[in-house]
Amino acid sequence: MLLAQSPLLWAFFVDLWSRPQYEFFPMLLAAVPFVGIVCLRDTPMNDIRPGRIGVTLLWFAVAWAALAAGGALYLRWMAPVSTWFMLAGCVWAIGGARLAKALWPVGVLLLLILPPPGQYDEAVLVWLRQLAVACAGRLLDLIGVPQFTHGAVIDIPNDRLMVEEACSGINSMLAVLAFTVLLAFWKRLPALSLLLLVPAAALYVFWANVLRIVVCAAAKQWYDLDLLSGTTHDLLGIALFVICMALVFSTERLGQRVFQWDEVADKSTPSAINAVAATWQVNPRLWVSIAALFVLTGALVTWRTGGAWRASRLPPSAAFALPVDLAGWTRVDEDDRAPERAEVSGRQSQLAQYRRGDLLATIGIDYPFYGFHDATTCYGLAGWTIASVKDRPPVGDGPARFDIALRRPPLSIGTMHYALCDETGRWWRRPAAEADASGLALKLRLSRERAMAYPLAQIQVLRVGYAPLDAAAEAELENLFHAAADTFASKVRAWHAGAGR
Amino acid sequence: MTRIICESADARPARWPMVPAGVALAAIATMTLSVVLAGATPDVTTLRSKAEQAVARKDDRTAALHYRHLLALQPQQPAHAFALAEAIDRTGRRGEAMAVLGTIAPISGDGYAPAHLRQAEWLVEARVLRGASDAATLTAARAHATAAARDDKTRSAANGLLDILGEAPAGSGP
Repeated sequence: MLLAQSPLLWAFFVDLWSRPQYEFFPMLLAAVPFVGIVCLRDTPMNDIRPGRIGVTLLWFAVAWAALAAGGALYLRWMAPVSTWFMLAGCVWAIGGARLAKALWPVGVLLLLILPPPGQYDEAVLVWLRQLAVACAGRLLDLIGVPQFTHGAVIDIPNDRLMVEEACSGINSMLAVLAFTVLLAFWKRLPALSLLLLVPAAALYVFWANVLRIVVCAAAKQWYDLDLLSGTTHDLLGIALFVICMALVFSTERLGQRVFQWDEVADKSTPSAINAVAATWQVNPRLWVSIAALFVLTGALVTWRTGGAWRASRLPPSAAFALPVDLAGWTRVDEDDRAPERAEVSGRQSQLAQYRRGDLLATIGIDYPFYGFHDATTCYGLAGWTIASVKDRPPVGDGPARFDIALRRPPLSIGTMHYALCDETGRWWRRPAAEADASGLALKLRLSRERAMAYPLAQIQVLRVGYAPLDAAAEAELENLFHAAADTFASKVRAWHAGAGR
Repeated sequence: MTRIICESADARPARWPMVPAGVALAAIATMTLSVVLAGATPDVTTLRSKAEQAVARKDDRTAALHYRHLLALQPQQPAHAFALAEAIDRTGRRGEAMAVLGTIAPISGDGYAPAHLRQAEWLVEARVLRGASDAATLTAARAHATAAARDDKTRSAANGLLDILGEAPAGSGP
């Protein structure tokens, strides 16, 4: 039955691995069986009875429906949901409510790797990051470092700190919380202990990151030390995680002292492990039927989703260097007079500055993105206000361009054009019917289109100044964008036809 | 009896493992209180005072940062933009300083008179000292000087510039 889940489950894990805040999940999965054994070993139980067959079948029916829906709608996250219900069905079939009660911590731990739908976790992390920046700003004031915070950016007299990167430690929030829950279950602490440990862990991660920002800013301002990049940045991140976990362990001892909670372990009666071993009963016909149904469904899902969710094939070494002269613009070395920089958020990114007369613009290329990337989110995080977004329809085979007008207090005015092309060099198009998608058939088609699409790369041109562009300058900037976009797409096509094949 | 007492003494958990958590929680409480007391937005008077102190000790980068902050808090105050432009200029970025002045004193219309005057001065300086003899520089310098001459506080200096530029000063006509 687990085999039937595996193709969709694998796709889910690959997606989860691409999210920095969930990179802890393999360790959590590895720990789950041990927690299960601890739960069974330490739960006193004389005998257990299998759960009612009707309820067991209900668990499996939900698991099957989730698997089928995941395959039909190309929803990878349905695989862990299905697996969870399937495991719950197994537990119920073997030991009914008593065994399920003994193993509830395992169920909770498994749910921790399931991101909430709608990417609410991302929204919470963004909010935490902005709160961390605001708190760091106040603390910098208190220690006498002049600062001006806006969005996830802290300006200090000597530099501009992109705290979005510096504060990546906030990503460890989920990992620390997950391991805190794991610790509580492992040590068989009472459930109420979580009410102390989880908020404490969240506070530790948050304030550790605030202090990290403060230390990095102060080091830059006072000693011109860059702690925001390279190995130092990575080591700081690891150190923060270790410190936070150590503090959680310490808090557990503190809680034990204050609240006198005891580990739940009664060795006077036989453990649930013995009870399971003694009363394990299998109805071969039922289990084979259920397994066959799952295997058949799994095969159908595998067939339907074959080729979906392609991994990016553009390697880090892929060079998309743009020419020195582009539509009358000339590439210049990075100019520290440029008041702002382009926001790039892909795993690979390249920036280049071009000048034409008084106009200075930045071209940014970054990839991969799995599905449409909304660049306004990145700019919003960096403290920009999105004044307007215009969706320009493509001309011929050209890119579908987005024009964004940006404002950042106090004076900066930005003009940004961007478009996305896939790894074959084809420009991304918004599906015509997406805007008013209705009806199951249409949704199924759109979900298939999205899942089957190649990963995308983004190209953008950004100009920032203190005054809006006049019409002639607007046209120059658009020319630069189209020249850069054409060059980039042709290079991607060449790469796809050659090295990428 | 003796055995029981020894056991209970041994079973008493060591205190040191809980010390880091206690210290951390106390530190967090202190920092939270500090941040809350500091308020959501900085005090404008304090910020202005810090900016002026930075100007006095010729720390123009810090001054520019504070004026930028002030301008974000009070965008309708042209004096902040003017002070920001001057601080930026003193760090050697006159082009950016001109652009900042342009936001409060555009060449096309009325604006903050001191900003018009300063732009005119810089453009005349570019023309006289660096030989910028193009028509655009001259036109811009005249426009800014003329705009500055409309304000009582800057009229005298603006008329002086118009003299240099070979224009009839404002109010000196027949």
